[in-house]
Amino acid sequence: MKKTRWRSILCFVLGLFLILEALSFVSIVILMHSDRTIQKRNATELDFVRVRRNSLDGVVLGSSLAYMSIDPEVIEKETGEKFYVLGLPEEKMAEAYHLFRLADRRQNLKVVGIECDMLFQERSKAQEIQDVAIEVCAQILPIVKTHDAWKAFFPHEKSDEIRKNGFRIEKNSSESVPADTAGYMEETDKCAPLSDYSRTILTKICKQCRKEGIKVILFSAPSVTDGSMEKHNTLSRLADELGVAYIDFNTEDIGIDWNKDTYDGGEHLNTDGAAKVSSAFAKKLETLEADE
Amino acid sequence: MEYNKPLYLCAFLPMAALFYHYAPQKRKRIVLLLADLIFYTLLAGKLTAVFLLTCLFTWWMERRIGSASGRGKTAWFLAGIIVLFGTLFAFRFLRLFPKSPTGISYYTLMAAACLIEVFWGRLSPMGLCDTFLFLAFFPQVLQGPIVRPQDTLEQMKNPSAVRRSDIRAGLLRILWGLFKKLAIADRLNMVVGMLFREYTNYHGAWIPFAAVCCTLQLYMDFSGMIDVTIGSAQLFGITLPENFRQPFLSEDAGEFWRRWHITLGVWLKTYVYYPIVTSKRVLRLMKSAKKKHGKYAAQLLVSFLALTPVWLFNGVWHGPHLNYILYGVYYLVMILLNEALKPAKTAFYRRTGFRREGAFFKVFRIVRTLIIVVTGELFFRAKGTRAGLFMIAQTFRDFDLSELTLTNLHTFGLDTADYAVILFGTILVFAYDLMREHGFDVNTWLSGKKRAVRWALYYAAVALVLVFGAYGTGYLAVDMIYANF
Repeated sequence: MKKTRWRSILCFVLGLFLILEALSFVSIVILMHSDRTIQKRNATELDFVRVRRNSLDGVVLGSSLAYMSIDPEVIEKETGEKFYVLGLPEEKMAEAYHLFRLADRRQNLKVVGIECDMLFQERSKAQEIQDVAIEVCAQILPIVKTHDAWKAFFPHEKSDEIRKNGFRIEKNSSESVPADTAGYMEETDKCAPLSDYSRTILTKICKQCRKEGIKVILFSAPSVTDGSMEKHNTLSRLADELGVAYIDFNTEDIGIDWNKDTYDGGEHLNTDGAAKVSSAFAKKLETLEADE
Repeated sequence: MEYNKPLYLCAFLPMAALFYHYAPQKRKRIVLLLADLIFYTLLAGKLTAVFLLTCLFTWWMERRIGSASGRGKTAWFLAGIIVLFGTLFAFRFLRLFPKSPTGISYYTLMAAACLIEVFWGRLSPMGLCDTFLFLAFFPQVLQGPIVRPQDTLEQMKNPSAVRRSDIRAGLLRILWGLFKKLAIADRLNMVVGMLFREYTNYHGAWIPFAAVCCTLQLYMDFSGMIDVTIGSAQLFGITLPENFRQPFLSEDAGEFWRRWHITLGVWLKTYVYYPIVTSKRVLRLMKSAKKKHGKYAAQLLVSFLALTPVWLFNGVWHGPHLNYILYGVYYLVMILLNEALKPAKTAFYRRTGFRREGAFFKVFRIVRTLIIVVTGELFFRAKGTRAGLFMIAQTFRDFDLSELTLTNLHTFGLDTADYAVILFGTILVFAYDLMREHGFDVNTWLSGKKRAVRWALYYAAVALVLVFGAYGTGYLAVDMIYANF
């Protein structure tokens, strides 16, 4: 009797698993043929898997600060190296790790750039566990991330955002809104707190990279609202601990004009600002490679 | 770790249920007690101390009340009630501390019920473990149902083996609740949030729309999460009382409150309304009023005397805002008005010869009640009394139906597909409500069906939640509305 019951439960779970796998498959197929409005966050991954295998030299992980400040075209022009930005709005560390693993599997990477603002996201312990659980679950059952695919069958406004190797250009990306720089990067010895969760995931990425001979570059994109000396101090120490390079474009003189180079009053850069950061990133890359 | 979060649904609840299921009969209570403690600590952190102190205090007070007699008994009882409600008042109204302990409004009422029952002699003082189990049962500690000791205590004291039918029914109920919450309520949150936050920017036609949406959201959220609560309890073989019984099929405001947040209504009826109407003073007053002004006036007077504290309590319980109190007064007026008009209505049906139970008048009464309810919810949800009044006035001042276009609806951050889910989801929920009103019970129906049919329904329920739920990217996780009260 007990054996029959367990067999019945097992059959039920197996049936459910197969149905969810089938739904996942269908949803991915729909998403592959739909536009970005429907794809939402999945768009980054879906675009990336279309890139030819082993055709990239490096990837950049991070939030909007990453995908609005690093233009792979500029880097390629200056260094000849092909990059791709795997950025998501407010990218969570668990998502960054998943995207890194994906990139590592599909590409023969030499460099991984990590925009570090995502390390300072305030997440509760429960949220951190949930983030990791969702990423793990999505590996087995993608439907948890692609469940909105059915929306493709409904009329919707299409996104007019342009993406070039993960660098995002929105409608008004070339416009500028001057930033108020009062208090920006004020000197202090204090350090911004870093959660164990962020530290653990970053360490994991760095370890994996070291094992495979991939160079890791931590960097902070210029941002009046998100950049701070506290974060700078924390990241400098962390980079030393991990034995990787850290570049803070908030403190480096790369010619950012906060009256002209930001499109939203100091949080994100416009296309002119992004060109400056990308060029500086490329130069640093060359210097680091030359040092080796 | 609220009931709609994956951590609760995929980790805590199944683990707690499994441990409970496989624990020996004697240890089941301990497993439940530990699960309650872990759950509450994970949610409330340091404030767990307040909750534990409340449990300890309730247990101690029950013993004091139980062992005392005469005036001493009354003194202990009053002291207990004052401390319990004083704590609630200090946290919720005076805001002496930055955060309130999770579920304080709910467990205070349950703790008070224990003291009242012991005071009335209907309940023997409970043991410390029983008191804790009763107050801390984790599926209900966040948002009720507000149970009385006689509802669940015996089930917790003597846990029985959990039947497979309970597990099946519980899981199905959880999925149904999640569908209401994730597919409908959380989508509506974007519309409701925007309309109530920026109400001054919207034409009058949007106000009734906002009121309907917020009523729907509140129902789908609260009843959905109560479904999860009741379903979770079923996994432990515990039957919690229902909190909703098809409220939108009510024919008057009084009936609505007998179908909506039923356990709060029952608590108020048992511990506030009945003690007043059966008190010697009120009975004496009724007698003299009957003599002087007749039965009708006496009944109205007693209703007024007993219902006023009930509705003021109801309003105040929701929080320290004037619009909550006025919300209570609003229902008081509606219910008294209904009472007052009863003879006139009876006369109307008698003179015209119309049947009160005829379909037309039944639908008319339901629609009328819906209008009363939706107006009340508008006031309840508004950002303060002034905002509520402004919104109601705006409806009559600047009403332009042509504003309600699909293009304008898209400005709330939802697309056509989202509205389609809201619409079809609502139709599905109301169709099921209608079936339940006519005695349909899905579990009874399923029990007579072949395994293939049963499984198909379970699979469909999981798929519905997973595919149409507003969770993950592009959606904002919405907290349980009633967990904030």
